[in-house]
Amino acid sequence: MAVLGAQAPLPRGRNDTAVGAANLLVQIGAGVATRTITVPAPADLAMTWEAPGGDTSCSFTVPALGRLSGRPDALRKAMPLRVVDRRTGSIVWAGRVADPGLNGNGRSTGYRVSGAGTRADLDAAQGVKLYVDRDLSRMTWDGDFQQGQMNTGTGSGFTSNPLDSGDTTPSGHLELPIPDNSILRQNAANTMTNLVNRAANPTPASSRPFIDGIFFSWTGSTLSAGLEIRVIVANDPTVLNERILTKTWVTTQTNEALVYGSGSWTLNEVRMASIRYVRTGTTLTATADGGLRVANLAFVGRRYNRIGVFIQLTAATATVIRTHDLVEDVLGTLLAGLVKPGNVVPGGNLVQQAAWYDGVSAREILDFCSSTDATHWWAVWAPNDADGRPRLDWQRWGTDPRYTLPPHMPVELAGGGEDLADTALILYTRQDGTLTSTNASISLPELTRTYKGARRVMTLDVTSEGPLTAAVAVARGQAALAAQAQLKFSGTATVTGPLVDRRTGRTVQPWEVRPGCLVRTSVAPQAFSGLEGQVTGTDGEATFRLTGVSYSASSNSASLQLDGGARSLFRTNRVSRFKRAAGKGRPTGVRRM
Amino acid sequence: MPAILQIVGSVGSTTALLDLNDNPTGVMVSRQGGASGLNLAAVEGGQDRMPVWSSSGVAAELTARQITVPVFLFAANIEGLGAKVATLNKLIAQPWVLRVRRSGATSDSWIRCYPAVAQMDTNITGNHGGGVVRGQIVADTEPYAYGTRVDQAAVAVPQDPSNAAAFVLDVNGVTGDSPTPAVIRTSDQSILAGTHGTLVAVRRSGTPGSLTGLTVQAEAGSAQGTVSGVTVTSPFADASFSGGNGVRFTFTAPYDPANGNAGSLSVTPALSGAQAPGLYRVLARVRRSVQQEVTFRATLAAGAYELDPVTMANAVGVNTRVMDLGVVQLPVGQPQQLAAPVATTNGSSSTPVRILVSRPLLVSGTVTVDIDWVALVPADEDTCVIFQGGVAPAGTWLTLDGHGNDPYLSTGDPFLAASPMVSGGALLDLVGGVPRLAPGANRLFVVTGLHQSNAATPVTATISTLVSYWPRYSWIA
Repeated sequence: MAVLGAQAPLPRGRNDTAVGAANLLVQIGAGVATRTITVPAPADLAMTWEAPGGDTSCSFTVPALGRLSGRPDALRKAMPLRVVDRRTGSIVWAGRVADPGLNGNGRSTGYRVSGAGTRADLDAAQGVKLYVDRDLSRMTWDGDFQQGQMNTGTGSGFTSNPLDSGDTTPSGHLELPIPDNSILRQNAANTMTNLVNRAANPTPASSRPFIDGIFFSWTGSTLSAGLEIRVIVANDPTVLNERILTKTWVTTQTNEALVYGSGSWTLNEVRMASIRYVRTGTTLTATADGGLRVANLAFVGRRYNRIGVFIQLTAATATVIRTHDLVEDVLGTLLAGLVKPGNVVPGGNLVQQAAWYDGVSAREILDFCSSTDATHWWAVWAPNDADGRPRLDWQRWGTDPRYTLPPHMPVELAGGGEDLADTALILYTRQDGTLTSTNASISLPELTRTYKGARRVMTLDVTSEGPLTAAVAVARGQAALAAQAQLKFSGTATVTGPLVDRRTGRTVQPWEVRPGCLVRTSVAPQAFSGLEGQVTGTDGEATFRLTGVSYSASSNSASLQLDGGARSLFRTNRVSRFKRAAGKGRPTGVRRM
Repeated sequence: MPAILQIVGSVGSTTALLDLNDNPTGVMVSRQGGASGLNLAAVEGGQDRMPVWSSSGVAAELTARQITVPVFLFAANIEGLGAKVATLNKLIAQPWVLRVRRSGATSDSWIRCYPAVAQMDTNITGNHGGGVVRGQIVADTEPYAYGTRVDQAAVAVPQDPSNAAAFVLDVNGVTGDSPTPAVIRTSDQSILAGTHGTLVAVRRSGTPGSLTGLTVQAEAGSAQGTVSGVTVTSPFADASFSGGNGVRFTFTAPYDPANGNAGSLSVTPALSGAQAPGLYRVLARVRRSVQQEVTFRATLAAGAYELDPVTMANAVGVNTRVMDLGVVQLPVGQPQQLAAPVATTNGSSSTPVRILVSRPLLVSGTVTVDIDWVALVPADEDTCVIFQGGVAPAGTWLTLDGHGNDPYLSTGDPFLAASPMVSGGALLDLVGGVPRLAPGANRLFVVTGLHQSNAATPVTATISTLVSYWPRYSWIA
């Protein structure tokens, strides 16, 4: 494609010819309205796509309808809206009418239609979700042994639970104490409980978080025999249902991995779990302070596959929760009947904390996935086949540029060097509830060279995520630094004509360019030591992540947002996304038992 | 000056509602300036306004026209003149049709015009009481004039690739000087009596009649299971498949997320040569044994290029259907020809298409996925798919109206029946653009079976299809 000089090259045959916006048709109400509207792309048609996100917005004016006709029922809110390419029959953009934009002056009527992409429907797909919760503050004391109130400690003495894939060295523990001189009669018990959902059958069905796995470590103080640790689960908070663990008191760290369907846990749809100690021997008077300590507590929620069938967990798989698993679960629960799976790649980062007791939307979960796992993005694209539902993609950014811009397509890069940081000061809450800080660093060669070893620090506040272990907090900091470093690369480019799509091997028109891949510009070529196809990853000089595309029919061109895009979009808002990740809520009215 | 200039009731009508070129016997009139006053040629190729009746297509199409029509109305008396003016005003106050025949020509053309206002002078000529009203109409019109409708007899389009004429519907000898929307109709109960998805595409550039080798039988390809747990039966005998055979993938092992439990089928459509370059949709006729999610993905050039995966969703039945796997370009990954001004047009060699079949669900149990055939259908010059979401009553006609790009169901042939429209009933959803026909040879492709419904279209089906069009003229006079 490349030519020298300002002139664009002459097209080379049918595949390489700019065919013009006249090939686009706007269809409103298709398959729903009594009177649908199909019009050639209006001159002011504009469409946008984003990654993460997918089909985002679409606007245009339907000017001529008022001249000869009344108002079709298709021009109403929430009607399906799509833009199709009449050459290929493909749907280019799909969503709904957000505002038909009626304006009239008696002589003529116009419709300035604005549409929201299908991803907007993901905001309205909400439910209560529990994937994994390691928050000690979820446990409440039942108050059944008034001599020893449950308290919180620093977690010292505990190591991580090797049975729990997502566990790290704890920063807190819970203790059910047996104070000095307290009297333990036979069958006396001291209990702490996690009640995740009180109602038996809340609606929608997606608001039914069930506990399918309980992981923890415990240790007992030196006391005489006749004490047991027990775990009890219930699917009705008013009834003690099933004891799934009974062990004799020991004084070393003991690690537990309890999973529904394994061992003695047969009770389905568990909404409540209690850990307690029970005096099985005769009455005992304590001669020193002691008690049962519990750390590394993790409640694993029920997960579903993409068609909504729950997945039978095992002790080995329960805590291996990757971002991909959350995407599959969202597909099978919150998004059932709304979208269908597109290109959902397996793998992704391990998720250590993901629980939303106060409600969450599908979009928030997907945003959480792509912010904690910056190598992936999600998007909801227009349907691509007869099934007719939009597709949800969960994909990697990849390392090979999908598009290479020829020199005659304009590129403008923005700065962002002043916001670079190689160290993060992370404010977080320890599991014992204290506010603390730590720091994390990554290596940025450009800062190492120019600052000669001095550090540039940014602050990251993840206290809203709830109690974390130090290792998890550091991982958050490193992810934020990497994202910050990634986003310093920013700029815009414009696709003014046909462009080769190196993934499908086809020359695409400006409206067929999609974000979610790497794009290579021609303004600052790398060293010509390697072949073009060997370029891997973004370099901030010539190769960028394509994060957004805006198509305008009037110029038949697509504006590309490279990484952070224009400078005004700067990153603090990206960093702040971490603040709303993994929110947590508290249940009310816990039963005392 | 045209020989005929009349306002008529409809395109194709020769019955004048008002003759703008009136020349009553025995009246001698001087028509100064008449010939130079007619202007039908002010056209626009831009997009500053939207036609209501017809949709513009490729960049070279016209989008608007403005005509200037001189008006001469004669009558034997003043009252007669007044009546003619009244008729004129009434006719052009709403959408109107102008019949034009150039002097010396033998055929008519018609222009559909937007409402307009006539500017008129009156000249009373002599004592017989008669006279002439002279004036002109400046009107916005559709960009093209139409000729008389051409109806092609019904063609039974075979759906079996072992038939050389599979999916092909040729429309040759199209007249006019510009592309024209097709009106495609069928009353074939083999598709209308159930839910169906039917793709209609066109190739009109080059030599469409030479476009062959688009289909290939699955059993003619090379099939393999890429991991353990996938076994291949090829050929797999099945009387309901084209040629009596297909390829069967049997997934026996539980799903393995690490490698996706994929089977692959490589086929090479014979399509090559000068007509091959272009865009094509990859279609495959497939069937699965149980209602479980199956994903298909087309790759080209030994995996160097890949399309988005297409999921046959869990809830759409087990019967045979045609899957649309996306759009590919031939030659893949390369421009069509050298930029250098070489004399010959480079074509494309035959391109292997590999289809990966995988089972993504975390469930065990045996699933079989069968592939009958694979086809490349042109997708670069208008493609549409019509989905009908229910049963249409017996005798119903389905019409794809290229002029409005809309589908209709009617109780009879929409060109003949008195009150044809079906109210309610099966919902139609048209995706894409109804094919337009270029002057000369056109090859349409009609492929049914794309709907997710359980009603499988037998491979032996033929779809009786009628094509009508009005030739379109950009050069009128």
